[in-house]
Amino acid sequence: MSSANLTDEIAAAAARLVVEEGMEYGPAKRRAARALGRASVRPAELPGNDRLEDEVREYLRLFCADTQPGELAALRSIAALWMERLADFRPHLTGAVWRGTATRLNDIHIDLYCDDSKAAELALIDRRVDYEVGSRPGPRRGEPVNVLSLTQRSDELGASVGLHLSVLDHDDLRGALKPDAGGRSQRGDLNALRRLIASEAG
Amino acid sequence: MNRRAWILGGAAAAAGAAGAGVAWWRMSGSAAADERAAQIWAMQFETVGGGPPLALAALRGKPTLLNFWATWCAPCISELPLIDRFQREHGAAGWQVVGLAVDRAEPVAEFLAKRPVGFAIGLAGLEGVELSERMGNSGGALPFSVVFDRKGKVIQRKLGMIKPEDLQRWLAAAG
Repeated sequence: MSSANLTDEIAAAAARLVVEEGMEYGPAKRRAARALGRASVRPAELPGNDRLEDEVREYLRLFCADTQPGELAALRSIAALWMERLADFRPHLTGAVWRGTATRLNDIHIDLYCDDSKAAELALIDRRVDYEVGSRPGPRRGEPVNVLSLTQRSDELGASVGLHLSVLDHDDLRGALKPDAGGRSQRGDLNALRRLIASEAG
Repeated sequence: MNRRAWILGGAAAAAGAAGAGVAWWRMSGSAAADERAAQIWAMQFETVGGGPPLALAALRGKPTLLNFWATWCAPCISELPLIDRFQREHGAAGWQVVGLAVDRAEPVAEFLAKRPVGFAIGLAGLEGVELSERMGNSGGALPFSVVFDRKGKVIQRKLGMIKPEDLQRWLAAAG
């Protein structure tokens, strides 16, 4: 198999894993490569994230056209609700719900760009919201940031949806709005999300 | 900010938490994630100090708390004494705690030299977070814990710091 064909096959197999199992792009690519009998794939042979996302959109169009748009709309309306509640902290939606490839298997990821890193958590406590505190490597040379996780019931989905708030610094916002290599935005604020919701509904 | 929306949201979140107390994250219902999580039993991990690798297959058969942590993760560090005590108190009854460090070997060795724990620690490396995602950590943050029953089947998951009441619930769930 040529290198280009191998990359195509990995992208197609990984897209299926992303949609059907809700896997993240990185693990999906590696698992797809293993499933194709390639224990050692050179990084250059793995599809890029933009290539994989194209494949994910194609997969959704072919196999999930009847369910995915509704699931995405339900997730986006929950995201918008929480972004209104957290408006003081410059909330930006990111991940699959922002990019439009989410299904009911995906969680909602919102970045908060705060002047005071404790303020968002205090706001949740004040309002008696039940949340969990986690940590993940952040945008500044991997320095850890707090992730506040909560669940929100969705009547449309008939399930509770996971919502994760990454607490970032106001100064991180400028770099965060740069588009990726493919020219696509990685996150958007409430106004941008409302435009997306309106354009999908129209 | 809309105060009313907040209060309603808080009440809904509290109601949801009470109702879902056990089910907690909706991924806990995903059969695919449960199946992927059980693949952990076939894995082995390097250990600190160059000891023999930690083969999870050898540990199967006991109710197990598998805890993904890292030295760079503040909530992980704060919960370590709690789960260490859990291992001490319930080890005799058959429970075991296994820690997987999503970290490099040096900081883990340094940390454990200062603050040793009484349970097995494997090195999952920085890509260990992807392993946790395969096991159902849909948020991708740490700490993340998975509880298995005697048969090696997933019975609970938790993202975020473990609280004493979580441990009580898991004890009851494992029977």
